[in-house]
Formats: sequence, structure tokens, C-alpha cells
Amino acid sequence: MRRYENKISVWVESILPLLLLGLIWGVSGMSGRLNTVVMPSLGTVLQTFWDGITSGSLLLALGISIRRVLIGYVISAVLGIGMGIVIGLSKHMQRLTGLLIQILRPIPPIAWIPLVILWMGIGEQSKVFLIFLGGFFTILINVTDGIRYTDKKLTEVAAAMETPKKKYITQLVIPAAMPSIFTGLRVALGSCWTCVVAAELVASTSGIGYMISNARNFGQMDVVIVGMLAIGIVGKIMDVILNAIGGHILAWNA
Amino acid sequence: MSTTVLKEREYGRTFPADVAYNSPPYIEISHLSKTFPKQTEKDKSKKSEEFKVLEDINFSVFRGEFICIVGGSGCGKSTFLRAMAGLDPAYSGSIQIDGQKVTAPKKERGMVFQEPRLFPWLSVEDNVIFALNEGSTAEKKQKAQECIDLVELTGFEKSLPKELSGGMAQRANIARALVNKPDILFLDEPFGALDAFTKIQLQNVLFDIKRKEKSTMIMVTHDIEEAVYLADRILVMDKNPGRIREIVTVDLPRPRNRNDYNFIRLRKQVYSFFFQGKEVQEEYNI
Repeated sequence: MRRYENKISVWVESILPLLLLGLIWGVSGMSGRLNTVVMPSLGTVLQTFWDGITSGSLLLALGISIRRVLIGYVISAVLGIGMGIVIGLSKHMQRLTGLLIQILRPIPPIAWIPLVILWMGIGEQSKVFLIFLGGFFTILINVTDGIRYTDKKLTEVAAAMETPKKKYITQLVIPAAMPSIFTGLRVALGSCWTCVVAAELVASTSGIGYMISNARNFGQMDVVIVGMLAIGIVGKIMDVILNAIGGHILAWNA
Repeated sequence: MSTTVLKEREYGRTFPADVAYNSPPYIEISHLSKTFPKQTEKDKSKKSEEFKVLEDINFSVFRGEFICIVGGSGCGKSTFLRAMAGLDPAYSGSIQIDGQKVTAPKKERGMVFQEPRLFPWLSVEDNVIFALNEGSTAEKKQKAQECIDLVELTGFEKSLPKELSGGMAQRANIARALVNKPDILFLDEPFGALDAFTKIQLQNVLFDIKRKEKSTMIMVTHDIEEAVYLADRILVMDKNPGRIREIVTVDLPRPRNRNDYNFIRLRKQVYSFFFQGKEVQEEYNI
């Protein structure tokens, strides 16, 4: 039956669970069984969502958060790729940095918040740094591994041709590591986006995370849910965009 | 046994014209041995025994010769080839090419592996160009094009490896090995994974290249018919430890006919080295 699969049926299948959840939510709200203090109805949430878009407050909050993420993410990507290549190429660097990275990596960015606020205050810098931490190690480790484990069969071909070192690195080792580098970039974007919310929940006066924590203080659960949904949707859109770019660059790997 | 082969065939020896039998040997291998450390699964801590892959191999190749190395799996034929190509420099004894001891691979000595091993992110043309380390872009392009034409892959220059069939990928692999104009081409079961039709086609392409480029070719194969079809001499190897069992001279005129009486007789002769005492079934009727 696979050959009869078309785009519409694939699309329906992927959207069906969402519709079902929405239906359950909507029906239970209309039947009056929902305690709207704890869980606002679907209608209220949709209305708040729409208001947020038309008034621009939601888009503004999102825009501020996205900007922060992109700055932190780009820094983590540049440093992660650069250092990953250097470490991946050198056995000495691997030994020198290995233990340090393995100890620093499991510390969640949230645990850094107290220190980071003391060091950098509650301005943009601290948020960007937390986002950077959220993506950096994921990228670093994926790049390092991609560079380290170049297919022996291909390196042997290069050896047989007496490929010069520079060409060997730029035209064999790095391209061969691209799928792994890209995996790192993709996973890291997700964790950076998670981090911005965490950072804004704690110390901020703007952004989507702030919007949620502020609404919580006023008991506006509909705004909280709108914020959560917005985070999820933006995260998905970012992943789609990055995947499209990656699919284009890594066409040879399909 | 090899002497009997020669005697039997003395009726009309035809020395291949493009082999320099009168010059000193081009490749000289003497007392070549190689061991691998043998590690048992249980005792990795124990001092590992040594496992002899190659033992006391003595052999010479003349310039322009086509040598096929045949043998069962595990007889060390690939190890032997890799040692000659300089990919495994840890051996004892001596391998000299043109009077120089082999210590590392050289780009003037091409290597064709069994799997095409193309770089998947580069087009066919760029894969061939990768082998060239000097010259302008235009020069590289032109050299690559010549080799792509030589292996009859014209029209697929811009294709990515994933878009090629097995035979086409292997052609590209050969083109890449040829682009540095190697004096010697080492081939490690290059057609082992191909279907019979593609294999025969590529054998002919390969021999045409050899004739045109006047290169020396050394090919490992497990296909006896392929060896008889291509080789000037066949090296039959034995295993445990890997050593030369027989050297069979194939003095059949070219182009060779696979159904020719002498071709079949020679093929059976090589077969008999592997299946001693067993009757080899006649496969063709003349």
C-alpha cells in the first residue's frame, strides 16, 4: 500500500493527533467540566493567542527571545565548530580537553544562572551566555567526533594519492564530518531555544519566558499556555528551516 | 608444476610485445614476510602470538606486465598487494620498485580498491580531480576529462556517486587512479562485486587502458577466469602462511577467447591447484 501514500494522507496523519487533542480540550471546555482557573478553555486560549498577535505583544516577546537565541546560537556554533575541528584533528588536544569537557558538559545551563547573574548582571549578556552554554557542548562534541572518525577507507584513498595535509583537512576530513556537524547544529538549536526560556523565567523584563512568568504571577493561565504554545511552534519552525538548509547542503548524503 | 605448464605449452610461445622481458625487473620482491599480532578474545592481556600472513615471498615483475594474484580468502593476497603499494609499510624482507625501496604510497602508483571508495560529496569529475595535487584548474579538468573518457564514463562528469551504478562507480574509481598517469596500477579485486556482464566489459576497458598507457598492472582476484583472461603471469597463492604456490605463464594470444581450448585448459590447470585430486567438471564443449 506504500506506493499509494500521497502527500495529503501523510499530512492528515501528522496533524490528526493534534486535532484530536484540540477536540477533547474544546469539548470538555464547552461541557463546563473544566476548572478554568487551573486549565482555561480552548476558546479563551485561542482568543488570547489572537489578541497577542493583533496587539503585537506576543510577537514582540517572541522577537526579543528569538534575537537572543540567534546571537547565543551563532556564538556557540562558531566556537563549537572551530574548537571541534582543532580538537578533532589533534590527539594532544583531545587528551588535554577531554576530561574538562566531560565534566562541564553535564552541568545544565540553569545551574549556571546564579553565577552568571553575579558575573554579568541581568542584562542581555547573561542571557546570551546561558544560551551559548546550552548549545556549545552539543556542537563541540558532535564536531569533534565527526572530525575524529573519518572513514578509514576514504583516508586510505587520500594516502594513496599523497594528498597534502591542507587539502586532506579541507576537502576530505571536514566534508566527511558535515553530517555529524549538522546533527550537532540541529540538536543545539533546540537546546538553545529551551535555554532562552529558562533564562528569561529567572531574570528578565522582556521576552517570551518573561511573559510566562509574569502571567503566572497574575494567575493568567491562558497567557501561560499561549506562551508555551508559541515556544513550541517557533521551535518547530526553526527546526524545519535548519533542516531545509541542511538537506540542501548535504544532498549527497541522502 | 609450473615447469610442466611451460613444457606443455612450448608449441608456440608468444611473448607479449609490450612487456620488457629483456630489461631488469621493474618490481623486485625478496624474502617478503609479514606478521600480524594474533589476539585471542579471552586473553587480551596475554602476550599476543604472531600470525604469519606472508612468508618468504620472492617474485619479480617486468615493466609492462599484467600480473594476477589468485588465492583463497585469507591467503594474504590483499596484504601482499597493499605491501607493494606502500599502504602497509611494516613488513620484513624487501620490496623494490625501479630500484627504490617501497616505504609509502606514491601518487605515481595508482591503487584501485574493491569498493569504489568515491567521496560521496564530490561529483565524478571532482573525485577524479581530487587525485591531482598540482596544476591549474583548467589543466586538472582536462586531465580528469581524459581519464573519464578512457573509462567510458563520458556524460556522467557531474553525477554524484550515489547516482551511479556499481559498475559506473568502479569506472570512476579507476579513472581516479589513472589521472596521475601511474606507471603501475595496483588493483584489489576491482571487479569482485560486479555482475558478470559488467565485469567482462570492464576487464576489456582495463586491458585497453593498459595497452594505451603501457603501464604495469598487478591485480588481486579470486576469479580464475578473470586471471587467465587478463594476466601475462598468474601468481597462485597458498594460505597459512601465505606464500607463492605456483607461477603460471599465460601465453595465449590476445584478444583472448574464453571458449578457446587452450584458455579452458589453462583455467582448469589453475583450478586444479586449489582442488587437488578432485575432478574438475568440464563446463564448456568445444
